[in-house]
Amino acid sequence: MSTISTNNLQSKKKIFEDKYIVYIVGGLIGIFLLIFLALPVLNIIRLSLTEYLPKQHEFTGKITLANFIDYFKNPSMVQSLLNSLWIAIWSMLFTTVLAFIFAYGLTRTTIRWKKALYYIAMVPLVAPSMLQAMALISLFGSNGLITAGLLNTEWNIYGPNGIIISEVLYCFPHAMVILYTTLSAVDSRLDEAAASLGASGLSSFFKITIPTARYGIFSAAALVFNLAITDFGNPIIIGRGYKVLSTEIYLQVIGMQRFDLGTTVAVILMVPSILAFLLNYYFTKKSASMISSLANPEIPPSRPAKKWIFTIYSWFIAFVLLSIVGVIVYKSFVKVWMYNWTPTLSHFNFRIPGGMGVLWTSLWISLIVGFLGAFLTMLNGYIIEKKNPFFAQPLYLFSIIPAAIPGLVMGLGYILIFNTRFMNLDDILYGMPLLIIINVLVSNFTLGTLSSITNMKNIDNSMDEAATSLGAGITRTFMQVIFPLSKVSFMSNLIYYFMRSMVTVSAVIFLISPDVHLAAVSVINLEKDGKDGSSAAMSTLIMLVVILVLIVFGFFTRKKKEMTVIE
Amino acid sequence: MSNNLILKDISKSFDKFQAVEKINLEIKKGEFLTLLGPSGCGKTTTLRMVAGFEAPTSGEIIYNGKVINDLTPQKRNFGIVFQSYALFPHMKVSENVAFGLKMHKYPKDKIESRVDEFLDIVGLKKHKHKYPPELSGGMQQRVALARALAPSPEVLLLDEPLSALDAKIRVKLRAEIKELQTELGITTIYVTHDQEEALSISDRVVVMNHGRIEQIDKPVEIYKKPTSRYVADFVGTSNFFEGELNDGILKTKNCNITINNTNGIIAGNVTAAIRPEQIELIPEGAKINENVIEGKLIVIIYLGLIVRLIIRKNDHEIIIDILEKNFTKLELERGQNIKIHFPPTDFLIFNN
Repeated sequence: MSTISTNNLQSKKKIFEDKYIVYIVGGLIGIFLLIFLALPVLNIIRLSLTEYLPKQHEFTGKITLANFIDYFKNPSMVQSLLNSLWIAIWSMLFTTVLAFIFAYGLTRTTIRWKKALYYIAMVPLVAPSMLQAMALISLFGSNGLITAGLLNTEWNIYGPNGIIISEVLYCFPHAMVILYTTLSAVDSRLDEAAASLGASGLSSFFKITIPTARYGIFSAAALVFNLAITDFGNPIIIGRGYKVLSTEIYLQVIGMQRFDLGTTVAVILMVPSILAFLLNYYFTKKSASMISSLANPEIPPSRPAKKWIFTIYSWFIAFVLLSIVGVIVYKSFVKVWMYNWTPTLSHFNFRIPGGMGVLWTSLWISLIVGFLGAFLTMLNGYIIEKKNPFFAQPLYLFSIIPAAIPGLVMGLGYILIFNTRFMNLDDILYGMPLLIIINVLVSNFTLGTLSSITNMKNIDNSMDEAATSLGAGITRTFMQVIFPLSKVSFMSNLIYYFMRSMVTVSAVIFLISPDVHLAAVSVINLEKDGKDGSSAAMSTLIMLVVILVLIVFGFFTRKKKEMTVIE
Repeated sequence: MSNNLILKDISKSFDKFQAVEKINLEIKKGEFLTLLGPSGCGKTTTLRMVAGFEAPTSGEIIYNGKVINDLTPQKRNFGIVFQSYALFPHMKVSENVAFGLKMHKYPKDKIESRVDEFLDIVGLKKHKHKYPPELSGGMQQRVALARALAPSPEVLLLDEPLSALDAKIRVKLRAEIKELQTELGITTIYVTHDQEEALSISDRVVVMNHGRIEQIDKPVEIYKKPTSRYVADFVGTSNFFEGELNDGILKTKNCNITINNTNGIIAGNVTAAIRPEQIELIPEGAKINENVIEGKLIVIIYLGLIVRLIIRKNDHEIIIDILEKNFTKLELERGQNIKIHFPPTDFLIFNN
């Protein structure tokens, strides 16, 4: 009798403690996001509304709309907004259409080598985000292989056309993944039902396939718009005087120390970016509701003509995506592009501060970001989805906002708070590139958390309850039940974070210091200094490292997959 | 032409997997035919070949005297209903039903009245402006039925239409489908793995196994006179006894059983089957000596109308169904020994 009551007391105490562990851990994540997400962004908005003395490089503290009025009075600056919109809209249209046809081929026809095509479509993800522009210049620039070498024409690709093509190539995999998921999730029996009701293939495509996939299409389009309008790497390389908002922020801040204009343009950039994000989020939710759980993956054999058309199209796209990478890899091994094709390794002798070391800096920073990011987002997903404390809603909100904020804006926000003459977080921590790590962590928090939440939804609630009823506390449940069941999701988040951290430029360009140099940023600096052989060599190395690490991680994931049982 | 739809030597293989093997089938006009079997037996593949979604590897599908193998689904004018409903989620209920009419170029002014007519038949007229996800599963399947029937198809194909529904709705909708089919007189092929469903709804049942037809018969024949051990096992419940048959006596490991009706099989290694409801309990003191077994009552399953008893004799378990009112009268308890009797005329014999 007495033993029973003590047991009871203990378990009550345990539940009491569990609740507070959730509060503390969830609260810490919340505070982390408040400091490193909300604070810098709000501060940028505040500064954009504050008077600035350009000569002294100082904000006075007086609230004013003058910065915005100045911006909209200056036609050349307004032009950067219009240019950005122009770029984003065309990139969105081209990418969505091209990726849709590609995804359709992979999901709804019986072409061969689908897996290979899918992986080739993902190739741009392992490349630094200005690789497309660099390759296009090598092919179609004033000294390009095709323009100058083959066609001998004066026409070149610099400016808006070049940016749009670069963005299409850069955004392609992002749109493709969404459309692939959408098209493979829609029940193909719908097409059969339509056929038995007399609809021809074409009318079934326009009346059934497109409408049922429409939310996925809109969601992909909104994402591409967001990516294209916030991208920094490609426009700075291939833009040549064609100003867009992201390059404008950089030039105003780094070139002219005009923090007033930098923050103002940042706020202006945030408007379309947040809007596109909200649309993307809305359509993704809508799209999920259209997905049938009874989706039937079997597809009947396609007619030969259809098969041929999609095979040719898919391999053309694959060829283009691979050429972009191929050109840069090739370029890193020849002496002088277009003039001297002698093979050489001299470009790998990097004459930059840090030398080859920048690659290792990027690697270990990215590994830290990967593990930390995967763990934090999993914890966050667990707390939001499974523990559902009273602050789950605001925590969720804060967790999905980062995708709406351009990386460049976040970076600017960081230097304006954490790297001032009053306080330098990096100095406090003896030159640890803490801000870089945190920025990449926060910038990619959205996708990590969302995929963790999906993973948690797939783990039966009774797992948690079973562990609790067997006497495990929350820490034990998480470490011994939830974590092992989430290994696949953990690894995919880790890989995602690692890749983003290796290739991102916009999020970190403001945050590199004399002590810390990163590989992807060095690519831009080398390219701008005219050392395009070396920038190609650095890009090649980045891709090589990413692919090698992916293979290593992929090996672990495959082993784990067999063990994982998810409901 | 009375032989409406004929499958002649139809085979279908996917890569190395033989899904359907040389099936021959004739479906009469207005007949309700059910393909019954476990998953993977080829029933759905057969239906999909009739619908035109899969092409047979060999053999002919003949409709009204014409080979229709190469006809696309669009041109066959067969209505189909899927397990997953396959309603177009972006269209209202009325638009779903109108879809086939539009595709068949019905005059515009007649489409609306026809949509209303069919939604009325399935009792969903007042939901015509809703979208499919707003309806319950049973309602969605009714819409799918109306959609398939509206363009007056010549054959109706139903692919496990009730499997995704709750038990209560399943039974209700089953009756509705049968009623509607009889009223319209439409030739119907129905695919299911549920034997009760097959027996209750069909004019004839085709029992399939591993891509082949085991038996084609009326439901009552399928149940009472299964032609193979497989059918006896798959349709309903049977007790099986394996042994040597000789002179009307089956020698099994545990006992000897007298069997009077041996389907012409005189001797050999056979399996005898008897339905649980044919086995009788012997009241205390009754004088029957032949085919009596005494065993221990180990399980009592109360099913309402009947009660199922499982009796163990050595390592053999025998299933017996008795009426609930008899069960109450006898005051049976688990663990007690009871005597049972196998009427010698109620066995079915299959060669091993």
